[in-house]
Amino acid sequence: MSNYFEIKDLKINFETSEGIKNVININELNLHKGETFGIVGESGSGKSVLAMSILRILPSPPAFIESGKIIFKGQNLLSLKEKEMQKIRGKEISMIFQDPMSTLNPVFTVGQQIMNVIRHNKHLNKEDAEKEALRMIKLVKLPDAKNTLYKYPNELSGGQRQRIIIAIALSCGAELLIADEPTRNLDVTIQAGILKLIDELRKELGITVLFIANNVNLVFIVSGIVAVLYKGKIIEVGTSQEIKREPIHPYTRRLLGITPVDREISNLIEPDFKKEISLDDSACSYFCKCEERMEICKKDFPILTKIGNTHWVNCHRVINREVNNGSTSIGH
Amino acid sequence: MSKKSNYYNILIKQKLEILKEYLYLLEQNKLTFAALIIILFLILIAIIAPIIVPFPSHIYGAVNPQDKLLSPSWTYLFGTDEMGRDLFSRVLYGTRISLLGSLIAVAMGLLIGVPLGLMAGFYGGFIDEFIMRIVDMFLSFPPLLLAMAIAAFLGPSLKNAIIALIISWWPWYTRLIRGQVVSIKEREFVRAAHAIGTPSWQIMFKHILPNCISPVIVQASMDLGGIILTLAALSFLGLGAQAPIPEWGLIVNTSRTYFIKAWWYGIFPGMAIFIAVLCFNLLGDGLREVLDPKTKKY
Amino acid sequence: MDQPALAIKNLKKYFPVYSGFPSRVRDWIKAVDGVTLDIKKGETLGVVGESGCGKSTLVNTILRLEEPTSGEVILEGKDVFHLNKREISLLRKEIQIVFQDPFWSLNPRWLIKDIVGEPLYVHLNLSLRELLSKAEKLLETVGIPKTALYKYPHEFSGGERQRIAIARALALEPNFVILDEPTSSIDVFSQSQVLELLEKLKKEFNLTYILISHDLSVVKSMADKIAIMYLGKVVEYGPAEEVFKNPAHPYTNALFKAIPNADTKDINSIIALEGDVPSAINIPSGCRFHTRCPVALEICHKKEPPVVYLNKEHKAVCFLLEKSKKGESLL
Repeated sequence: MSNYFEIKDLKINFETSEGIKNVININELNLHKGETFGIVGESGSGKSVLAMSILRILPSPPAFIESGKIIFKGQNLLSLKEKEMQKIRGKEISMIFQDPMSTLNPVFTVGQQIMNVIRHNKHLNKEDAEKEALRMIKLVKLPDAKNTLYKYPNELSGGQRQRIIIAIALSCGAELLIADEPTRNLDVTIQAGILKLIDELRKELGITVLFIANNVNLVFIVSGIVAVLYKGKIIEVGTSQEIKREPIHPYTRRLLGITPVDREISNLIEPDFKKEISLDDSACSYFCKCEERMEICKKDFPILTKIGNTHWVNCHRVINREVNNGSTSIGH
Repeated sequence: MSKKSNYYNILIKQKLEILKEYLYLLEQNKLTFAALIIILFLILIAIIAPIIVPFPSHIYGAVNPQDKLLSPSWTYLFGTDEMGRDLFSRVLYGTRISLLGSLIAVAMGLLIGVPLGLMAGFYGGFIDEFIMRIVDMFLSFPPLLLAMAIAAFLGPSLKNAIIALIISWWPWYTRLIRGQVVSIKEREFVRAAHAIGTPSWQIMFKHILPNCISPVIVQASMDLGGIILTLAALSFLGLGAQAPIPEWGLIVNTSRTYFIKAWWYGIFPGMAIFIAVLCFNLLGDGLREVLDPKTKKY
Repeated sequence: MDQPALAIKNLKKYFPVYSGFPSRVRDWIKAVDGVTLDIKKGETLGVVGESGCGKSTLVNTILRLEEPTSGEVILEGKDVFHLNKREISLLRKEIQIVFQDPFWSLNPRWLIKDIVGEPLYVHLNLSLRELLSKAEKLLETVGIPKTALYKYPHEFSGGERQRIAIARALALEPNFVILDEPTSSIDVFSQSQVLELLEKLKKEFNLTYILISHDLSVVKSMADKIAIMYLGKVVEYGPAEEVFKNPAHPYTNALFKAIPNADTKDINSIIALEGDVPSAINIPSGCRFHTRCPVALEICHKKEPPVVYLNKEHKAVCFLLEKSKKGESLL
């Protein structure tokens, strides 16, 4: 079954003053049409780089896509010319970001901003564009749509602005929505509203959502399949139920707040990010921070192993699953 | 205390590291580096001028009518003026005046402008309004005109010209600093200092100032050049240094009468002004890049 | 001793809004609108609320970084708002704060030795050697090696900076420490470290904490008592365990259900509240939560709800609770 959206062997490097640094190294990532795929990553994991690379809006330099394919509906996005890519952005794949205030232009009304996008992509006249804009504002469930058209971004609350952003993103019929920390700056009770909206729109419009955040619980409730990103690599992927039931990778367990198995190691002072123990390239990238590391982790990079229907893990601990079965359950 | 000296060693090593990095960055920009070298050279000349000048008596007085208006030769490298004085000695000595004068003017301008800017930004309210309206008043005049007016009022002399420049220049620094202070004082480390109970003046000078000094340093370096130019302009107009002080602008002014016959007269002091101002501008520009937060680690 | 170590009585802080010509005060931003809380020595009070609820202003006012509009704060018997200059200086030694942002709460141009030593420098008359050795000891307490003294903040990770900030807060040996979102801006590894450290310090130095956080797992693990704030008032207060198990106020309930945690099943289990948080200038009449409350009654529009005690220590401000307590039928 050919996939709707597929990332294969993607390697992205950054040129820094200290040499070339590998930021993304993903073997495989598949999205199915109509689902919400979640990516959990803390700052520094490369999640924003990944998101921007799909739309090819990475600043290059310093970023360079060394190799790999991003296949969307049969086309490799990385091989498209800029002109062709422009046809994809906004119309087929759209992205929303963390801070609605900096995404919206403060000197135009929100109505104008939606209309600008619509007119640019769909070539409608002013009247029809306004009708469309109104329709989009209603679609994102903003009350009093007619008056909202004429409001400026600073007259709206954070949650309302984010809804406008979503309206703009979907105004030209995008099928795939990339949401990079869309609720980070919002209050919790407002956040819930935005998450529900995205889910409702997904069902209503049949779009696919790639949801990226650093809060693992948040990603779990929103997504069907979740991938955990650590330093540019996917270290665990599965449905939220599978991972919750049996989180294997120590990083995943950390994120879920599960106390580590080996308490002695956790009493060590954490090494400074910059002063990591020099490892061979073949060692597991999580070794330095891992509280459940074993000798083999220093020498061999673990391979992605399948342990469930859709549950894959990149960790040597997979072998010890039988032994540690009791301590992999979630408890507080 | 061996422990303390150990710490100081580390501190010195750190400062050297930072200095090395700055020099490295400066070196990257060859133009800026060249400008820096020339400026250092000028400073050197300014310091040793009295010693290396070939005709020390020609600097101020000494009328030497038989050698008047001679074109450049090996004796008189830049030629002589209408009084027979060696122009090379005079221009060389003029370096001293220009550099020292601009240094004093900029330093005093900073001494007045920076604390006022800090206070205006930090306290806000009436103090802010009061200081900034005065600043606005000064800034609504073109600096040269303002300096001219003040110099004319005080009476033409080198000293008064420098005073006029100080008065015209300090408001720029106040405005520059105040804007930054307003945003920096909202930073958490300032709140932390308040919570610790640090007195306000300490917060202003030890916490806020180090964080907003970079643009001021850049501006001040460029101003060193700008003030040399303005000082020369004032002297040129007769409002600054008076004869027989060998100030560059004054020499250029005197050269006007003789410039058809004696092409060498105005050229050399003019070039001196040009080189000095250009180098300071380049230095300021280069410093701006070096001090740019994007290249910094924090 | 049953005297609360910190007693806040009906604290109000209003910010004036100037408008019109000539500018007069037209409106007030009621950031803190009548907060009464008691904190016992050695307790950790968790304060939970969304933006605009007034928790930052509350903290600023307790620290006297803002002057209150009315109300009292009694810290170990002393009236915080009626202190002379010297006593305010002593206040700084009693109560300190750790800020949320580890990147900006330390002056990027200062060395660590100066950052940690600043409280000592301002309040105590120590020689350079004494200062350095004290700073060293403080860093040791929080697990930072002494080589850090001559380094700059940017050379450390977020978690380490937060620990340095804690060291700074402890420099004057305060009894109270306010923790303003101590773990929300740092990565997951450092989070558990910092929390463990805070617990250890609390026991070692018998500290009393006021912990502000929106991360419920942090509040759950650290707080003894918890206060929920909405639009400048405390709407619920009680022992942490109990409030988590049985949230009484509709806002608390909505808040807990809106925050995703490990037990949330799917998106249908989270509650989204209608509308936005009202502005603090135009506080709704009656119960300030009634505009968004899913179970608001008629009376909630008109009158301010009473304080209802569910048991000796657990209280909430709600008409619904009053009715259910009295056994009245819920209309």
